[in-house]
Amino acid sequence: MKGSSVPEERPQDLLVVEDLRTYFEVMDGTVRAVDGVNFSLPRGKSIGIVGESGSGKSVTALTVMRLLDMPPARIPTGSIRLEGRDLLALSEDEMRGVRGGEIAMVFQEPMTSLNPVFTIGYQISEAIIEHLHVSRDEANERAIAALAQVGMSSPEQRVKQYPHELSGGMRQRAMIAMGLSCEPKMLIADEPTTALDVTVQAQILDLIRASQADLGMALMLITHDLGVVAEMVDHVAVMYGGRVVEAGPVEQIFTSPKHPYTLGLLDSMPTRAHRGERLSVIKGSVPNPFNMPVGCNFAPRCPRRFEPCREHDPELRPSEDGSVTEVACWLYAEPPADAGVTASGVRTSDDPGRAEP
Amino acid sequence: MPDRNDGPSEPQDVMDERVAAVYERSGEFQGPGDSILHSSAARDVLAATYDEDYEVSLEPLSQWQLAWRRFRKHRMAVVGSIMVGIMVFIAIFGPIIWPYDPLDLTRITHPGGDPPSLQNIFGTDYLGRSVWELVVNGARLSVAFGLVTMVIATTVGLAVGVAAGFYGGWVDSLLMRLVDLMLAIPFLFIILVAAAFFGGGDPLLLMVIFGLLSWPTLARLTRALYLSLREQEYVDAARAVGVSNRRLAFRHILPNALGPIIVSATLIVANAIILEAFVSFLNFGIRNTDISWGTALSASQGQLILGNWWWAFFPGMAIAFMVIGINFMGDGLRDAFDPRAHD
Repeated sequence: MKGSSVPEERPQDLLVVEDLRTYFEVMDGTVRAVDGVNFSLPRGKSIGIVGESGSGKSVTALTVMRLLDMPPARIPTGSIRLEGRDLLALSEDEMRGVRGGEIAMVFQEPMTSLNPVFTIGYQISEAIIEHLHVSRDEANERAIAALAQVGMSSPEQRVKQYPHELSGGMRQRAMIAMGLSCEPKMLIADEPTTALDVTVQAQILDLIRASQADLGMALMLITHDLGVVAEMVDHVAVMYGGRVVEAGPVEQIFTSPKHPYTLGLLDSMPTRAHRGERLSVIKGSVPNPFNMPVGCNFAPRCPRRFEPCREHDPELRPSEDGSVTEVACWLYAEPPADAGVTASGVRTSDDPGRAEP
Repeated sequence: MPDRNDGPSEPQDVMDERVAAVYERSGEFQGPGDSILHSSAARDVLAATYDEDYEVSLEPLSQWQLAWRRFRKHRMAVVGSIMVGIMVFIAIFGPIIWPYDPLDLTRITHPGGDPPSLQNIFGTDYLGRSVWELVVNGARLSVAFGLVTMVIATTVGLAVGVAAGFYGGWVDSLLMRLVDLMLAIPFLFIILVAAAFFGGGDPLLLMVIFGLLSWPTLARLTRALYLSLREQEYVDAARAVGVSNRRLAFRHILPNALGPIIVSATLIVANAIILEAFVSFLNFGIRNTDISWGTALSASQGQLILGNWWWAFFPGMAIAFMVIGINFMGDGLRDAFDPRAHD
């Protein structure tokens, strides 16, 4: 069915995000970090949120967890439904039960995500006691089991160690153990491997994937690394300027990307095929968050822009050729009648070399 | 399990050959630059040959243990601790070993008091009482002043500082205005008023007043620490796991903030001792019937002109000794908690 991109809630959906907006009120104005994001995550499946720095992917994750300081941040519209419950309507106490208990989050910097004055066993136990209300001894046992589950050697000894005694990869494992210890329904991983070296990266991703299978957990993976996305997730949502510009199954996104931004991203990946050639880049840079362009956010940098792009915001909807991918682009949808389309309906394209007005 | 002292477990070229062999066998090897991520066979090899971080053979050391080690090596800190230790010992046991009886007068040979001699190492006052006994008995009150003031100041200061620093917003503004108010009040004025109002001289009351005058600086310090520490990533990570705000403030952040707070607290002790001496010297402090170093200093003024320097000198030296000791300890503590200090 063509039309609105608002996802209908199917029974197998664990998380449904609908028209989510997160704005930050700062001295210089309002930053629309997340400006109308829609996606759904079925139980046990995984979605990869891809985008450049500043595209709003981390803020989306933090909004789902309600970890943002609400005075500068505000959520003017939108709903985040976890198994039918709107997380934005919960009280802080109820939300604390959700955090860690139903949705766990792993952050980017393992070096600083653990409190230096406590042993990792204490920190994992704390999470367990908070949600499962067991005794300290039992929590310690579970913490040891969690560490074993994430592949740490000698977990009984590790449990008594301090974060500064562990390497980056091991700290990230400890963070994942903390996240998984209460058997959440969903894991949000915000660039979990960006700060780690490549060999460790592979192990951590394997670990996340294996845990996902073990626990039947859904995964929301945030990254800017398309290689990781290709390996790890079932669905992809590409974000730009606070909006999802393309979303669909991972194979489709990689084999037949539609949105010019997605094309640009895939093009800019270094591959063996073009060894020795200059890397292609997407011209221009991310727009000023205080002054987003009118119309499509990507239009100033888009090599295929035409008249409607500068006037109307495209919505995320299934593309006209009937594929299952959703795109937010006038190339794949009927622009509004008053856009500068010629009478015959033929789309004219601008010369991308023309200077910006 | 190989440990750090064993040297590399395999020659590097043997390792490379093995990895290359696996790649080739699996038909996935395309040449240098091929992403390791896309070869699960290679990953198996890596998993098998990856040296788990060498078994740690050292005892895990907490922040506190590390700080203690640095403290122990710091010479001034050790000296200072010994000095303070001596004084505390004297404060506790002195009056038991050398009890002071104000009516135990001995004959004196000099007007103004006997100078230091074999019978009285610190000499006597103008009534023949031993200055040594005076110093030893006065230690109790002076040291008590330091400690009680510190406890009160720290309790109030921490509560205010944590609330202001962690929660921010209007709580912060309100509390900081209160701090500003308190810092604007001259302490001597308060002491005089208290002396007049409460029929002055009660040591406990004075300790409370000192404590209530000393907390603002500590509160500011704590607030500053919290303003920076609450942005640390582990606070977010703990929140993401469901930890409540109150637990975050007291259980998670506070241990990380304790270093500078402890240093400041030791300095409050030193300050309180000097303050007590100062205030007693002006006769606005504790009653003359109680013995402290300050009252000794005050009472001895009249005899200076007669040449009795020892009655003022030794209590004054006792104050200096204690305060210098505390300052040395404070230096050592500051360095011990500083993560950038060289071990």
